[in-house]
Amino acid sequence: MILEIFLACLLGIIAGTITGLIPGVHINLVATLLFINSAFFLGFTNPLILAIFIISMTTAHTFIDFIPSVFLGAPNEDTVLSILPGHRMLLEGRGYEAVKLTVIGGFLGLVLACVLTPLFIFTAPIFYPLLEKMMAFILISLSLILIFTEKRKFAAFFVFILAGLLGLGTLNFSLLKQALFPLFTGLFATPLLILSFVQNVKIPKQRITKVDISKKEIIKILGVSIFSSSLVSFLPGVGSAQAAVIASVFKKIKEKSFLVLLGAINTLVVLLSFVALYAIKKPRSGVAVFVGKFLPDITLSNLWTLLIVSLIVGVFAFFISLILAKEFSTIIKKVNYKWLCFAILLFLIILTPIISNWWGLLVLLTATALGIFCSLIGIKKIFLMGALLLPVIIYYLI
Amino acid sequence: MKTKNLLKLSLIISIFGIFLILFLANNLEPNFSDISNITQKELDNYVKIKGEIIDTQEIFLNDSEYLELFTIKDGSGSIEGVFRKRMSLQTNQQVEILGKVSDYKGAIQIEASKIKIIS
Repeated sequence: MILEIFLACLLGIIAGTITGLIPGVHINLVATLLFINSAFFLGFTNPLILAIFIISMTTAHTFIDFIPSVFLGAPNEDTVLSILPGHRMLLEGRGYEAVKLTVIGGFLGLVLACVLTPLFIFTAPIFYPLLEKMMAFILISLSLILIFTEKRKFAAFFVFILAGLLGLGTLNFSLLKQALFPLFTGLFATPLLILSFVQNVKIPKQRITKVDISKKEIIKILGVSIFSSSLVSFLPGVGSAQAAVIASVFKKIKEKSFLVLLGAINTLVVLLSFVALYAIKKPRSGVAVFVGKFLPDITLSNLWTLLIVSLIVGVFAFFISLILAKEFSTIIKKVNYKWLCFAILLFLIILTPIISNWWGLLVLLTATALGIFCSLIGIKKIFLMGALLLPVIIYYLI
Repeated sequence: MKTKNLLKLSLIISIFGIFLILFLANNLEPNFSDISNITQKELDNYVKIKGEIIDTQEIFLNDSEYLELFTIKDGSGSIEGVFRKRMSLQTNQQVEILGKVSDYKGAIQIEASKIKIIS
């Protein structure tokens, strides 16, 4: 049994590292393939081991997936908001530091999730019905706060609404598969890549800089991340992207702190979705759905096994991320960044019809245009999250 | 390309694209599928099916929330479904359903977004 657990963890770390590094490849894809072939695997092992593989892969992925976001400008839907602060630090020669901030946040998020699990198990069934009723109100209020705290309110509102309409159309487009991929790639990744190419951005030599952030700042960030993650982790239709938006409304968060926050939220939301599976019997993430299939009557002992495995895997993923970030820091200076952007752009364009079918290209083009418009008028990228917020607000209102 | 021109172009493309996507989302639907072809591989994808309702159940969650559970069959098989609006489906009704394939406690089901009663 111990050997099986060890192997499941090891294979999970490898799978999570691969899915984390390659833009567009999601852990849900691997989990789906595993589930489809589960009858074969269950001939060799038991469902708990398969669940351990999934959580190991998920944990490793949440650490590693900030690397392509920072160094390549190619995020996924959970790391999209890291792209701008991460890219800014990359242009200052501090790409490694940007990744280190996210993995610090990720590891602290892991520890927090384990420590707070008993509290969530006890309170979730009580607060969940109330939260469900209030979610639309919470999201509307936060969206309005975000807009009214922006200097150019009308422009921010305009971008938010346009993004919201795009999100509504895309998420309800029944012929489109995996709608989030072209939507988020177009809103956040391709505009950055196109503008970097057109402006002939040059990446300076990367330095392995120390992280300089106070303990007081970290405690503040963790408090905000617990609040925002716990709001979204137990509800359908909302995830780490919305948690980051909610968190960013509270106090002015500095760039470095924002990266720690994103790392913490990324891990917290995923792990709390497993806690939700036990506490309210509802899976709240794609991978939690699959763990729920393997362990339909998940026990408290199963949950703690998964959380402890996640903590151990997190330690390894922390160091793997830093090693990979160092390698990327060395390699990125040796390549022509302009043509690297072009190559990644081409890769994402080719990947879109493969993942989403040909309609995905229409969404990608439209979202890219909106993302470029947002960048050129100088409005914060966070307003593009209207693409997810508006559909979710309407979902909870109807 | 000058920034001002790029700004105008990006705005025009985004507005045109958004309205085109909204139009297509409202007017295009997948072709009909046999129920037997709906498997785990279709998870989170939209499908369109037609068949006969063989079982229904209404659940009132509270004053404003309502679930209609049903089972639909065609010549190839049957599938369970859920609809969040009140339609008062009856057994033996012929219907067309557009919905998303989802998983509920290990079983494939269809979360209907549109139901059209044929007879």
